[in-house]
Amino acid sequence: MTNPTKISNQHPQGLPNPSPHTLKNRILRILWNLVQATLFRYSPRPMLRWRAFLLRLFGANITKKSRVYPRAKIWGPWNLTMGDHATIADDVDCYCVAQITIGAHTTISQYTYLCGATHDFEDISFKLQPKPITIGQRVWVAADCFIAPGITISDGAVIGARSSVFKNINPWTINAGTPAKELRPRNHPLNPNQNPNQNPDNQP
Amino acid sequence: MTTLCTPFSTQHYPDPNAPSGAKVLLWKIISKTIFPHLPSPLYKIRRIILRSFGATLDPHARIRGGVHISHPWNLTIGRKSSIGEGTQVFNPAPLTIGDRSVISQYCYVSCVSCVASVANDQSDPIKPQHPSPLTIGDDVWVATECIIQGNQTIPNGLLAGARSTLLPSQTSTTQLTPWTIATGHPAISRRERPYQGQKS
Repeated sequence: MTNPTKISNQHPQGLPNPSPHTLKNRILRILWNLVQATLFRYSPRPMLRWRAFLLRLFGANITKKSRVYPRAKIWGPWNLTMGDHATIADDVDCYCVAQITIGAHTTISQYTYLCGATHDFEDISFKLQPKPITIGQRVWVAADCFIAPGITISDGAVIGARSSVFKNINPWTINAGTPAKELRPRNHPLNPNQNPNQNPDNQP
Repeated sequence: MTTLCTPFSTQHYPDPNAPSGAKVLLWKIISKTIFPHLPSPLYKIRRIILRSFGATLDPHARIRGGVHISHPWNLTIGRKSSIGEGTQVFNPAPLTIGDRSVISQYCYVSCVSCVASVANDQSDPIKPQHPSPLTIGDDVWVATECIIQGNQTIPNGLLAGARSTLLPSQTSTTQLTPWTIATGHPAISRRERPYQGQKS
């Protein structure tokens, strides 16, 4: 710890930084946390439409066919966009300070952390900087991944288990590691770039 | 992340700051029942609880909800520093956090060094390594899901990137330097941290 005189020079009031969020946001989050800790968290697992309804009630832009499991942790549903059959598994932490978009048929597996904000570490104010995360269609993010703020994961990509994604991901590729590296293209019937010889089902 | 567990046994560790046995037992009960489940904005109540168990906290230190602290009597937190949600703190040795430092969500802060070469009791492999103090400097940001081990001093102004592992360095080349950005496993200082303001 430094000497107290130096600290008082830098912080005349010595008070913590004020909340970066508006009063409306903070009240809504208290209400949402109450709902999430009770009606959402303890709903039976097959009641996917009920949980989608609760999220829509708080402003989430999600369809009836979006699948969110009960132990998932959503910071603020009003910043969440999900397509048909997009899945958020148990214990996923969706820190959606900025808009988080999850495309149709995409799966976010257990323990993944979608981190929607960083801080201005170059300034003493340490200001919150929300950055949106966009995840395309038919992506699979495997268990316990970390998705950094401001990242775009293109359609059809696969992120291996326990990877950390700090750079944008190309479409229809398989990526893994900390930091995530591209390993190979994904062999999939919907991959437009794939060699048709590799997949006999795709041929007429 | 949530799969990490904190061992709560004190019998292996010599702990000179520990209060009486009844108080330790009371903390074990509180730390596993109400303390991690207090809502996040109740910083004041958590500070009062931790201080009553011997922690030295600045009035502006912030400990968020869901933080697991194993030995609060060994905890010292400076002005405007904070510990994020879901962080596990295992501090059988003194843990000192400086001013304006941030430990983000889901970190694992351990004062036990598991690096074999710093073990002082290698005759008994089952016995846990001797706890060693951990000091975190001023203006440090340890980003989300990092692991910090004991027997080291985190220098002032260090920025540890998300998911990096801060281990006590064995050589001078891997030494963490002040006001740098460190990432990786183990974390190495990669580049200078730009900063508008007086560097401490």
